[in-house]
Amino acid sequence: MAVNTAPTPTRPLNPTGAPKRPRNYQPLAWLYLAPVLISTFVLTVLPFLYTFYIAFTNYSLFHYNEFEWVGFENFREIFSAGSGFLPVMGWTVTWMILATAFNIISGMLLAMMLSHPRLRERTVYRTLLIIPWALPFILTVQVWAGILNNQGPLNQILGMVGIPTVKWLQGITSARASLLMMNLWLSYPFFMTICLAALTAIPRELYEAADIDGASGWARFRYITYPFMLSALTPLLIMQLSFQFGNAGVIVLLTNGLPLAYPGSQYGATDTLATFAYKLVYSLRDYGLAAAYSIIIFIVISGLTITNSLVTGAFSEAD
Amino acid sequence: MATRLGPTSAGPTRASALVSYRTRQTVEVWILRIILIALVLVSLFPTIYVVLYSLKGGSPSLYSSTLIPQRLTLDNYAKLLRGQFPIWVRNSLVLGAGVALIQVSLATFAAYAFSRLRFPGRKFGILGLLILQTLPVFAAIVAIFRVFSVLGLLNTLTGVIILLGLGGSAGGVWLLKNFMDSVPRDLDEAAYMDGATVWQTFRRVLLPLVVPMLVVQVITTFIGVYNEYIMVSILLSDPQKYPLGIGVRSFSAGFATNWTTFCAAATLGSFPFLILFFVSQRFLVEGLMRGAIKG
Repeated sequence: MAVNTAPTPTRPLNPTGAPKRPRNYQPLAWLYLAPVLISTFVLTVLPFLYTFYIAFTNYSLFHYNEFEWVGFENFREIFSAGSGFLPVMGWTVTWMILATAFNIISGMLLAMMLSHPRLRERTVYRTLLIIPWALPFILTVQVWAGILNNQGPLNQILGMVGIPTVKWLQGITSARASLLMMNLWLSYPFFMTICLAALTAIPRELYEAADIDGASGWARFRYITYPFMLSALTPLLIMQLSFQFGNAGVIVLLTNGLPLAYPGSQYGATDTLATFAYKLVYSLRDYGLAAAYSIIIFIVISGLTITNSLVTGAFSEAD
Repeated sequence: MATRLGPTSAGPTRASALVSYRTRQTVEVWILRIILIALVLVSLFPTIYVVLYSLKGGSPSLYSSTLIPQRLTLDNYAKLLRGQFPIWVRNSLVLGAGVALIQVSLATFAAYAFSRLRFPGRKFGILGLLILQTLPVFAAIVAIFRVFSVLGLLNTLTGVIILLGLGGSAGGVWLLKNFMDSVPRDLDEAAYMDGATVWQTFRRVLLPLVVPMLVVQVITTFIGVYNEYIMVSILLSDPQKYPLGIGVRSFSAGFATNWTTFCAAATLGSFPFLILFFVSQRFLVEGLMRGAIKG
């Protein structure tokens, strides 16, 4: 520090007397960027490139130290008939679309309900409804596994009103429905909050003008609320799609991809590409194949992200 | 409320229209109340259930004949504290704090560069960040697994901290950059006019203003690490090294033998977050808004 104060002939602060406005290229920026750039390069970019390489090898439990280049073998296996890729991809896309749609629609409905002008105690509902978001999902998903157990509390409650036991996590359709339901429980508070903020950003005068024109409730929604919300929420919508596409944690924790798609199948009916890649690493230990799946996931997600930044203009606005 | 009803100088027909408008709104609001209360009850059910069961005496099984426990006790908590639970709590704290501090401090510098400095490739860098942020980390898990096993970092907390802290440092940059963009540039300009260097402007002008946001970012990152299952479960295999969320799986999987212990663990492991969340919620929502909503 003291060195700086010495009257050495370093560049004067204001050579021309004019305020120094660093508008142009500042090499110093690289110093600020270096920590993130280097660590991201070493721990994200390099591993990804290495994963790319592994996707073309037979690295697995059986070839742990002496794996070799096998060309497109892993991809051939993925795209061959009966590999499970198509059914898994099918459920991944279904999951991605339904989870996103449920989340956004529920957030929108709740936000609209909560913004009813006569609902004075809305803060109470909002605070209570936000609680699932405030709890760590790594624990609440495990709680749900118990709640949805065949002899768990949900079936007990249903039993009280005379509904026979539902094997929530054991049937293909019911397990998928349970996942979507639980995921909705986890995510709606976030969407409710975002939608409420988007709703309050709509200028009040528009509704007043609509009132004067005698617009119906539906017309107010169709011509004011909906277009405003749509433009405000588009970036969130696309971000959600890519998030849900790769959202593996909740699925692994609740169903672990089960039940099996058919007896003896390698993949389960609730496996997405992401959970299947996880299983390939965690239990099946076929690392080469897992790497190939990771690359497919990478391509889809970066495609969605690039689309997002093109649609929302984040790219051009970034300047 | 009344202001929305428009001019009151209207004739008798207008007045009766107003009355019916009011009645309709009253009916609406009561229907809404009933729906909302029902939703609140459904939504809170898992939480209430877990807290009740964490206090349940007698059989530790999920397969209880009654929904509401007959006898309340703190035994489940006592059992928890005698076991590996305290170690898992410690591991979670070490992991979360380590990752959050590394990640946020590195991201702060980069966010400053993106928000205030000019350099070639800035636009491309921001797009790159956005892609990195949405990318599931485990897209590269195979390579990391391989390299960590060669370097002897598998099954160590250090390995996980390095990976999530350093490797994930790009994650917070976009959000922090948006935060910093909201600080008026006039302040920097004034500092420059007074002859401050880039570093002084960063250290003395901007940093003090964004401290609350940095704290929120640390909390958010901490919660993110706490919730991380996929990566951590692949990298750690020794129960002594598990963070809480993964450690308690041994309880939650034992529906018949350990369910009430799990409920106690889930209660203890969630409660601090409820507080952290509500403390930081205002900032959290604000920050998310800036990232997620356009215009």
